Amino acid sequence: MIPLMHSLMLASALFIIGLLGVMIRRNLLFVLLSIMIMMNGAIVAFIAADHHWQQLDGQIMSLLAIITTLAQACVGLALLLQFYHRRKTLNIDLLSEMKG
Amino acid sequence: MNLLYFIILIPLISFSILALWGKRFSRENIAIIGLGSLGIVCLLTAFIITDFYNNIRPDSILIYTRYLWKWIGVDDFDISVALLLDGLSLTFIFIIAIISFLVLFFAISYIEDKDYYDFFAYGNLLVANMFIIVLADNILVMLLGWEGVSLCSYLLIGLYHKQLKNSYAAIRTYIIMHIGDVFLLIGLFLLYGELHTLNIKQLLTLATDRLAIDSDIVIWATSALFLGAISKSVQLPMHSWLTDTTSATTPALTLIHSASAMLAGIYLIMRLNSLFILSHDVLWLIGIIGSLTLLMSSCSALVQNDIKKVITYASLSQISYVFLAISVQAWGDALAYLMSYSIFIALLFLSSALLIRICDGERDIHHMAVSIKSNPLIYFCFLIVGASISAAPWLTTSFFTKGNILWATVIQGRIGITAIGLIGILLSTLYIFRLIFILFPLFSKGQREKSSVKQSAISYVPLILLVILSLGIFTQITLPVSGLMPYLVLHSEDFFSFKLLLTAITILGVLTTYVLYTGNQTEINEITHSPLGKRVIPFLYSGWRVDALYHKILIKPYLFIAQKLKTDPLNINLSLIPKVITRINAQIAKLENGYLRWYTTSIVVGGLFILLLQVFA
Amino acid sequence: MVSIFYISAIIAILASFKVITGTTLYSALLYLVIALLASASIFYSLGAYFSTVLEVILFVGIATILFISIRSYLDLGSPKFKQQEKGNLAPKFWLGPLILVFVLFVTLLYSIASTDYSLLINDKSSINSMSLEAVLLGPYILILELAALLILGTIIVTYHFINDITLTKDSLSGKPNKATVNKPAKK
Repeated sequence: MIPLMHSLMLASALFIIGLLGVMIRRNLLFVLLSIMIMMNGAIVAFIAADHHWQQLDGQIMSLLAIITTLAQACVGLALLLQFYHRRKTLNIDLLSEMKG
Repeated sequence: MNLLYFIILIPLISFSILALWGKRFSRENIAIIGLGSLGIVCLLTAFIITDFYNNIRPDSILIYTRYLWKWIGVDDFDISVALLLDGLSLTFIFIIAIISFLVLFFAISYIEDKDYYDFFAYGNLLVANMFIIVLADNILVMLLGWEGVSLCSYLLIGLYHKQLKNSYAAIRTYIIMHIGDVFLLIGLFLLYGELHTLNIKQLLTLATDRLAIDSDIVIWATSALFLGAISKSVQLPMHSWLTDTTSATTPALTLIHSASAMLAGIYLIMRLNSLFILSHDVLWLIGIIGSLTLLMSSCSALVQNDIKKVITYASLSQISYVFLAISVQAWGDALAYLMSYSIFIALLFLSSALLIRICDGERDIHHMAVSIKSNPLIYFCFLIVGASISAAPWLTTSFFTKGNILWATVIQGRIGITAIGLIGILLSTLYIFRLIFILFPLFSKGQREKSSVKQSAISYVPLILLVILSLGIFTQITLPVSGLMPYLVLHSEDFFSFKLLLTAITILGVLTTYVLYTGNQTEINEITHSPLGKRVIPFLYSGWRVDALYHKILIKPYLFIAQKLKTDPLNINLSLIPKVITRINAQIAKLENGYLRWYTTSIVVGGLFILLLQVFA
Repeated sequence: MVSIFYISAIIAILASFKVITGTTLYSALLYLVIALLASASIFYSLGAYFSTVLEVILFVGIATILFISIRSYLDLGSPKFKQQEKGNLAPKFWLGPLILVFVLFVTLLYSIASTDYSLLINDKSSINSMSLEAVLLGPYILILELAALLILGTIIVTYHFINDITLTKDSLSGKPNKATVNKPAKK
C-alpha cells in the first residue's frame, strides 16, 4: 500500500517539471511536450486518488485526461504546422504581434 | 369675457404668421396682419371693459378667473394655466392695447422696408407676452411672459443689428433684465418656501394671514422682487440698459417705454401690493431709489444734446413718480399716474420720431431747430407733452395725478419725498421747455424748412389720439381698482393750496427756461464755462457717472477674476489625476507584451499567490 | 509493488527533466517515451490496469508517432537550429522560472505533507464491487461520449488547419499521414 502523500508528491513533481518546461522553452514542439508531461502528472494524481479510495472514478477521469491530451497535441501540432508554414521557425516569441 | 384668452392668442398667431412668412409679404399685407391683430385686440378689450362694467356691483370686487389647462402637477406642486381678470389687469390691458395699437399704427409709415415684418412680428410677440404677464393668475406663468418681454426687448432694440452699437445695447438689455430675473426668482423661491403656493390670490391671502409685518422673510422676499421689478421698470441701479438704447428705432423704444417693459415691473409690484405693504423698510427703500432716479435722470435730461437721450431720461424721471407713489402706498394714484405717463411718453416719443424724420435723421438738438409755422401739429404735440411733464395746471391728466401723488406724500408725512418730487417737477419743466425752446425757436432765424422726406398724414393720427387722451378731462374716470389696492383719502382743505404751489413751480420753471433759452443764450454759455459748470455738467451728462461706477465695482473685478481663471488654477491640479492614471496605464500595458512564456509565468505567480493564501492563512 | 512505484517514480522524474532540457527533438522524444512508460508502471503498481494500457497505447504509441512524423516533415535537424536551441537554454532564460517553480513546488509539497490523511481514508466502497466496464458504460457513459465528441472536434479542427497547406504545397508527403494518424484515436 503506497501512501497517498507520496503519489501526490510525485504527481506535483511531474507537473512542476512540465510547467518549468513551458516557461523556459521557446520551441513550440518542446512546449507541447512539456504540456504532455504536465498532463501526465495530473493523470498520476487521478490514479493515486483512485488507488487511495479504491474507486474507479479516477481511472475514468484519467481516460478523459488522456484523450484530452491527445486532442490537444493534435490541434497543437496542426497549429505548429501552420506557424512553420508561414514563418519558417518554431520560436513562439515571434508570435507576439497581437499583444495578447 | 369668455373671449379673454383670445387677446393673448391673436397677437401670437399674428407673430407666427409674420415670423414664418413675413419676408414674402408685401408691405401692405404685413401692416394688415400686424396691425389688424392689435385692432382686434383693441375691440376685444373694449368688449371686455363693457362686460366688466356691466357685471360690476357696488361694494364688491369683481374677479373673473378662467381655468385653461394644467401645466405642471408634481405631488402637491400644482401649476395650472389660468387667466385672472380684475380691475388692475383690466387697466393694464387697456393701456397696453391702446398704446401698442397706436404705436404700431404710427410705425406703418415710419419703419423702413427691410425691418418691416421684423418689427411687426416682434411687436405682436411683445404685446402677447405683456398680456400673459397681466392676465396670469400664477407667478410661474407670469414668469413666462416676463422672459418673453426680455426677449422681445432684446429683439426690438437689436432691430438695426447691422450697427454694432445696437447689438451691444440689445445684449446689455438682455443681460441686465436677466440679472433682475435672478432676483425675481430668489424672491419667488423665498415666498414658495414659506407659503407653498405660487398662485397669486392664495399667495396674497396667505401672506396677509401668516407673515408678520417687517419679518425677515418679508423684507428679503420683497426686496428681491423689487430688484427684479426695477430691472424691467428701470430704476437707478439697473437703468443703464435703457439709456444705452437711444440708437434703436423710436417706435420700438416707444413700445418698450410706454407699453411693455416699464409697465411689467410696476404691474408685478402692484399685483403683489399686499405683500409690499407688509414691509415698511422696503417701501422706504423704494422711495429712496425713486427719488435718486428722479434727480439723476432729470439732471441728465437737462444737459443732454441728443434728442433721444433727452426723451429717454425724461421718461426715466417721469416713471420715478410711480415709485414715489408706491413708497407712500398711494397705489390708486400710482396706477392713475401710470396711465397718463404711458400716454404722454408715447406722445413724446412719437412726435420726436417725426421730428427726427423731418430733420433727416439729425439727432443733436442744437442742429434741429425747425419752424413752428411749417410744423404746427408737432409743435402742438410737444406743447401738450411739455404741459404733461411739467404738470401744467388743470390742462392735462398728469397735473391731477402727479398732484395726488405729491399730496399723498404730504399726508403720509414724508416731506423729504415731497420736496424731491417738487424739485423733480421744477427740473422736468426746465428740461422739457429747454427742449421745446431749442427745437422750436420763437424768434431766431436759421430755421429748417419742411424736410424733403414727405410724411404721410397717417402718422399724425396716433398723435392726435394721444393728445386727446392726455387731456385733463379723463381724470374723472375712476379706475376699477377699489378693494384690490388700498386707497388713500386725499381730499382736504389744503389740497387746493398745494395745487397752487404746483402751479407756481411750473410757471417758475417755464419762465426760467424762457429767459434762458429764447434769447441769444449768453447766460447758458456763462454757466457752461464757469469753473463749477465745467465740473458739474460732464458729471450730469454722464448720468451721474453710474456707468463708470459700474465699470469700477463690477466689471473690473469680474475681468480680474476672469483673467485669473483663464489659466484655470484648479485644472492644473485636476490634470494630475489623468496623468497618474495614464502613467499607470502605460506600465500595465507593458505587461501585455504578447509573449506566451510571460503569460504562463503570470499565471504561475497568481496560482502561487492563491496557494500560499490557502496554505498559510 | 512498493519498490516498483518508487523506482519508476524516480525514473519518471528524471526522464521528464531530461525532456525539457533536451536540445534535439529525437532525444527529447525518447525521454518522453521513457517517462510515460515509467508512469505506466506506476499506474500498474497502483492497481490501475486499464489506465496502464491506455497510457501505453495512446500516449506512447500515438502521441510519439505524431511527434516523430512532424519532426520528419519539418527540417529541424540543421546546425543553425541546434545552435538556437542551445542559446535558448542559457541560465538567463531558465533561472527566474526555475526559482519561481521551485517555490511553487515547495509550497505544493508542504501543503501535501501537511494534509491529515486519516480524515480522507474512510467512506464508500460501494462501486468497488462493480467492474470498470460496468461503471464506464453505466453512470459514466457521459464521459465516454464527451471524449468521443472531443476527438471528433479535434479531427475537424486539425483538418481545417492542415487543408490549406496541402492545397498550396503539392510536394508535401507528411500531411495525409497526419490525417490518418488521427483516426485511431477515435476508437
